[in-house]
Amino acid sequence: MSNVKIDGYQLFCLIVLFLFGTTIFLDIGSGAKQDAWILTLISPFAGLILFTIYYQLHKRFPTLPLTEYVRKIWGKFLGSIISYFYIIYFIYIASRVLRDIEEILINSAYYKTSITVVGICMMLTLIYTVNFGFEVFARVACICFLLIGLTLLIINIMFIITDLIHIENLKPILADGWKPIIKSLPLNVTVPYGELITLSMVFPYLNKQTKILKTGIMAVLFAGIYFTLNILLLICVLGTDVLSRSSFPALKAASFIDIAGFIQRLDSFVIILVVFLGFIKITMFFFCAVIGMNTLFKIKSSALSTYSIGVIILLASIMIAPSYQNHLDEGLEIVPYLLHIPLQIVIPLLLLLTVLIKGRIKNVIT
Amino acid sequence: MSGENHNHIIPLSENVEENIEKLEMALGKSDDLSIRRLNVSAKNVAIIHIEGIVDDQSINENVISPIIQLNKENHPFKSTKELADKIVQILSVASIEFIFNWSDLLENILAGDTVILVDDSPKAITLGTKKIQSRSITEPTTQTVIKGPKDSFTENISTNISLVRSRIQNAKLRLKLTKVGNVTKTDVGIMYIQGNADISIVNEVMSRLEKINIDSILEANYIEEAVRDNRKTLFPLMQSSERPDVVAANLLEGKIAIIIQGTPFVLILPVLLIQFFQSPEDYYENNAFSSFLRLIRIGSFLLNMYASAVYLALITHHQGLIPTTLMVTLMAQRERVPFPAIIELLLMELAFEVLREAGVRMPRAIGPAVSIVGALILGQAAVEAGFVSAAIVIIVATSAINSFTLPNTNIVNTARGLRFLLIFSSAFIGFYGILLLTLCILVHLCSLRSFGVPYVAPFAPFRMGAQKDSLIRFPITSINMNDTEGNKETKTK
Repeated sequence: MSNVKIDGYQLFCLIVLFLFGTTIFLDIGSGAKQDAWILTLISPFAGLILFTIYYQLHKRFPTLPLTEYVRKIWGKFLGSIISYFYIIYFIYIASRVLRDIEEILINSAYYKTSITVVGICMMLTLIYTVNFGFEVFARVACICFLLIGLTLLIINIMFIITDLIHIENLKPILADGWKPIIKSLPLNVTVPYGELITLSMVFPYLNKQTKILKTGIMAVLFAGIYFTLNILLLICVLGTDVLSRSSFPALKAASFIDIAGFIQRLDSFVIILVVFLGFIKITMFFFCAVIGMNTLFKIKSSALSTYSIGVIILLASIMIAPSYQNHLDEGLEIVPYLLHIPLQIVIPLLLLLTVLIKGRIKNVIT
Repeated sequence: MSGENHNHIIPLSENVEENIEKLEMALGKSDDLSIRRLNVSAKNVAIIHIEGIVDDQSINENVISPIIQLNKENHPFKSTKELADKIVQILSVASIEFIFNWSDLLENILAGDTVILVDDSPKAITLGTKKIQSRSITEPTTQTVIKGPKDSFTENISTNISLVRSRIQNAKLRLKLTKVGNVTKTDVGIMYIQGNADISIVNEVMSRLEKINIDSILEANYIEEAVRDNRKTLFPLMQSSERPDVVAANLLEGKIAIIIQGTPFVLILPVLLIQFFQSPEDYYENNAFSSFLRLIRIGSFLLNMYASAVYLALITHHQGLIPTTLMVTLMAQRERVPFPAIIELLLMELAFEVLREAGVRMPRAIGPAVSIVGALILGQAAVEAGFVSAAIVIIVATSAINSFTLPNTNIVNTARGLRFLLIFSSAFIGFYGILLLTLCILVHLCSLRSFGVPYVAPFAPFRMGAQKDSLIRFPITSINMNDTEGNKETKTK
């Protein structure tokens, strides 16, 4: 892991794809109804603030991952507990994303297949990837970015040429004022932007440290703009009513495409994208968990932690929720407030404050 | 083997007869060892070579007759050294060297040099009279083009080097010769262009060649398997070509060529995946047209790999994705077939592999027989008898035809291997299996390096400048040969 060669462009691809994750297929900003696009336009700026916090922390400890500098800042005992929590958090989120993919596949194509089989196949691929290390993963992301970008572009062009877009679905703008937007803002900042906390686990392993901030900002803004276009398209194609009722709006929208009775069932391409993007996202969390585990418990062989964490993620993905609805509810009502906000926002902010105050005190003494 | 190691410290005897006796012992009194004994100014002189690998005419005219002439002139030589010097002066042979020990003597004689031994002299004179019989330069058989040069490499290393040199008449073209193979002592040459090629890769290649510890080098693949980066891969990590124009073009791009005695295939490294889809003809035709053909080739490669697996996934797992009318046709065909789709497909795929192998091995005269048996009996009759469905025959034939578009056979074999893996994963869990295996292949590709250069180089890591000559080809004037493909990658390292 020590000398990883990743250039700015690769980091950009990685961050963008990671942000896309499963979010671009889900109904983001549903609370704001037809104004969801305003929400997705605002949230990247909140995301940038979070990214800057993570970057500022990294800048003070350029050679350490998050789980290590927590222990430097808050001492061995408290720090170890916090970093242990982070590892569990990464594993938990990985298994949540894995569950999302499993559910999408089972609901769309594999009605009779066991969720376990779908999960095992994915996990084998994930373990294979993680074993190759982060540099290879970054290159995979680079190629995936080209493939996924091209596919998304083609699908979006199809929406336009098949005359599925109904601009009137966007009206009325701000019918209920700014309140619903502000209310659902925290949820939209934590996922996906807050999940950039994973980057603070891999920052120390990148070789071009100077480019991180610029690349990160560009990637976050790019993702924000794409989210906005994406949600605009979905609202225009589906309307807020269908949008809020379907579990995978992007699938539903793509299935409307029909050109000359020949180009149809494009939702299968969307499923392919779901698997690719989900793969990138889980791998990222997986890496973070492995890095955290290796540094916290001083494990020498990466294979040991990779395999054990892989099995835990797989089992957890099946056991975390009895049904998909339950899984979604947890994701919307419990996880953001109990996990995302404390671990993505509160703790990093407190860490940064501690560091700043410590620095101030030191300055005063000397 | 241990005796050989001692030889190089054993100096030559000063007695000619002693040396000859020892040489005969070393070569097991080989019948093709020719020894001509002469007497010049009362000194014994012996001219030794092995028949068949030397230029007989040159030896007779340029070596033996001047020495006989010298004898007639009856010079009074004061010392042996003077005699030896005189002999060296009168010989009209281009390369003359002196050797002092046994191993060099043996090596030179076996390589086709002629050795002159003189009494009372501790050194032997070797003359470069090597002439190995080889076939003449013919049209390439594995990498044919419609338009472009029609010459190809032969089994003779010096002919091959000359074919490259004649294309690049530049002082910066470098050649390093070495011998590889404990028993065969095969000549292996490394060619590169100083300044274009990354010198660290050249050194790496040299050191890897020196580390090879196998008895024989009979074909390029012996070297390839011995020096490649990753042993556990289906993908070729070196390109082999029998076309001098391809080698010259690659040298100009900063690649390194390994030329091996005894094979018309020259290895090119470091190699990128995209290179296997580029034909030399791409540069001999209009760039728009050759870009189109390049895309066709990449499409063919993917079809060749995926056609069977995708068909299988559609027919067994995702019938819903097939348009209804097509579905009815397909199902009507499948109704008579007694096997499950996977067995049907594997039978046909294996039948094709057998046909292909038979096509390569059989004598030329019975060639048409195989095509009749293959096309009529296996194809038509099998469908009519209801063993397989017509759709399967079409799919297997399509993927087979597609494999022939690729200019390089190495990558075709990769696709053949991966095709079977994809069929199994598709049979197991349909498109999801194909997708995950594709991801694994992608990860594997990204992990590969050919002599330190990432295998998928112009795409990951992404190089904008190199895109001018990767998927499509820009006009030659706009491609700067020096920063195409992975070359830039190699240089920044």
